[in-house]
Amino acid sequence: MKGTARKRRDLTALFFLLPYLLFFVVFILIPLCHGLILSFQEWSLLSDPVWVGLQNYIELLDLRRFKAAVQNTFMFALESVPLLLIVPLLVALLLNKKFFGNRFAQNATISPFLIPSSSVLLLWIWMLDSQTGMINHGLRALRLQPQSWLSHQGSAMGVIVFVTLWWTAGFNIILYLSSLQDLPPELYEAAAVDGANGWNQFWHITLPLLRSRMLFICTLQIIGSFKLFDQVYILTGGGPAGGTRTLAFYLYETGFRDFMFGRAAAVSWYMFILIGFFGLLQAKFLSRWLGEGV
Amino acid sequence: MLRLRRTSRERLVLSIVGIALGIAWFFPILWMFFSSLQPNSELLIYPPRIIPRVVTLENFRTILFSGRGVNVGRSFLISVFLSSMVTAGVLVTATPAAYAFARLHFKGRDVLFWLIVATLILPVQMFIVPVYLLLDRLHLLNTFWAIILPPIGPAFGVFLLRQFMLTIPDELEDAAKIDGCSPLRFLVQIVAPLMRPPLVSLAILTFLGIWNDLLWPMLVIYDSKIMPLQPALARIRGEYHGTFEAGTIMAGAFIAAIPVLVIFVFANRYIVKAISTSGISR
Repeated sequence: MKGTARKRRDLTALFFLLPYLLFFVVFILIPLCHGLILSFQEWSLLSDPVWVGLQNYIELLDLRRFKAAVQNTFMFALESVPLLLIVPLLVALLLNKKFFGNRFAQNATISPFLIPSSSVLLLWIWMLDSQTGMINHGLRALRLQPQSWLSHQGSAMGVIVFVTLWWTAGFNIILYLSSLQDLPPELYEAAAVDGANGWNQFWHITLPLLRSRMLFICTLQIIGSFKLFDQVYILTGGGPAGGTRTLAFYLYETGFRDFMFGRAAAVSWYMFILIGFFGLLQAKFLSRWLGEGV
Repeated sequence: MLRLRRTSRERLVLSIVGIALGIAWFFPILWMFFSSLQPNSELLIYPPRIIPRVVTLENFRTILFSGRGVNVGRSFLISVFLSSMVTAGVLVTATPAAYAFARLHFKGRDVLFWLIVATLILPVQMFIVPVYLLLDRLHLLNTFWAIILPPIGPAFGVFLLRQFMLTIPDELEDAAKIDGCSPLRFLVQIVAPLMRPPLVSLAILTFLGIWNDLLWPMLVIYDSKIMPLQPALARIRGEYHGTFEAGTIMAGAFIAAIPVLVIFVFANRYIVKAISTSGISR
């Protein structure tokens, strides 16, 4: 009796789970295993896959392009993560105050992140055009030297960071604003009674309470850096001279331009290792900083 | 009195800073719109006219109806269709699965749940090559299925909904059971209405995710007749850039931007909620 009840219970669960599990197995579990196997194989479209052991992984370490891609990805993370952590915080602190025009400022700063990447990037190609772009028009008006922003090795990565900031800051602003609105007002009243000024309140109340939110944004941002593709693909195509070729872009080139599926799979496992490494590093160092603020 | 004057002066400063920031941030979008309204030749003139001197809809006509190589109008509709299909697929599969993980007791439940959730930490790049090869073998490349099916796999929806369902009190289910309500009816008639907020969040995030994706549709769809908006737009640069038709390109970019901006103005609150509930970390 008890056995049949249990069996019925398990069957009911299976009935609810089956549709999703089907998709999970076919599009997550199987590809994950296949990707791992692929990374130990050499396979281009022309020939059958051949087992080559660790060859893909070892070869990659010697490839100048791969090393440059790792370096570029790190550079992008190093420049964009602090900016995307701090600028949205400042904007959110401003928007958290009451003033005339707040609604407009909120919509203007938040809405760009909803616009599809191709639309945003075509817009910035136009803005940054070396001849007729608005940015260079502005520079000319200020009697400054116009630049060819996207074809200059010194500026291309900076432009990608800037456009990414303009485009995606809104997402982090939302995250900060929702945290700021949850902060208990009593704390600020008490602090004001004790004579703490705005800066002290920010430093000793707001910032500590935002720690876990900042950690969360930091994690998202680092993972996001490894995914950086659209900006590179549309703005620079990885150039000039490979200066903006990121890991995600390198993976795309390896797999879908050169059709080296085995090597591309190995690149994706390296990405996993790097992201995992950062995850652990963050957990170790930042959890201490986070302290009791969780 | 003195204090009142101080706060009103402070508000004035905040207003000026806030509005200036808003204008600076919004300027590129405004320029996208004003560029799209001008004949392409006007855009080559220095100094530039921010407020158009000649207004024309020619650029929109070109990009929507006589598009070279790509048809932005059709791609727009394809994107609406595909994003809706994926959203429906995610909601229909994730809801019962989340229900099973949150409310039903069965053997191996927690192990299975954490196994599924653990895959969320894997970067999407790990799936690109093997899923592409899988779709190739199934002969689904260059069909809508290649875009609709794979995004239903990731566990994000199941995780989000399950966390919310855990907060529904057990008593509700017990009461329903006593009244002879089956689990399926309980899910559809009682849980689903309570689940409106997370379901709306999940729907918005899924829809936007597919609407905004570039890499995947670019890889799996190569026929421009069935191409979604994002890869189609990425292509119009090649068609119109060399011929200095910036206004036409901006018309295409603006058409892609307009629905999300309109949705944002009307559903602002829901989107903000969707984003802030997805950042569950707090």
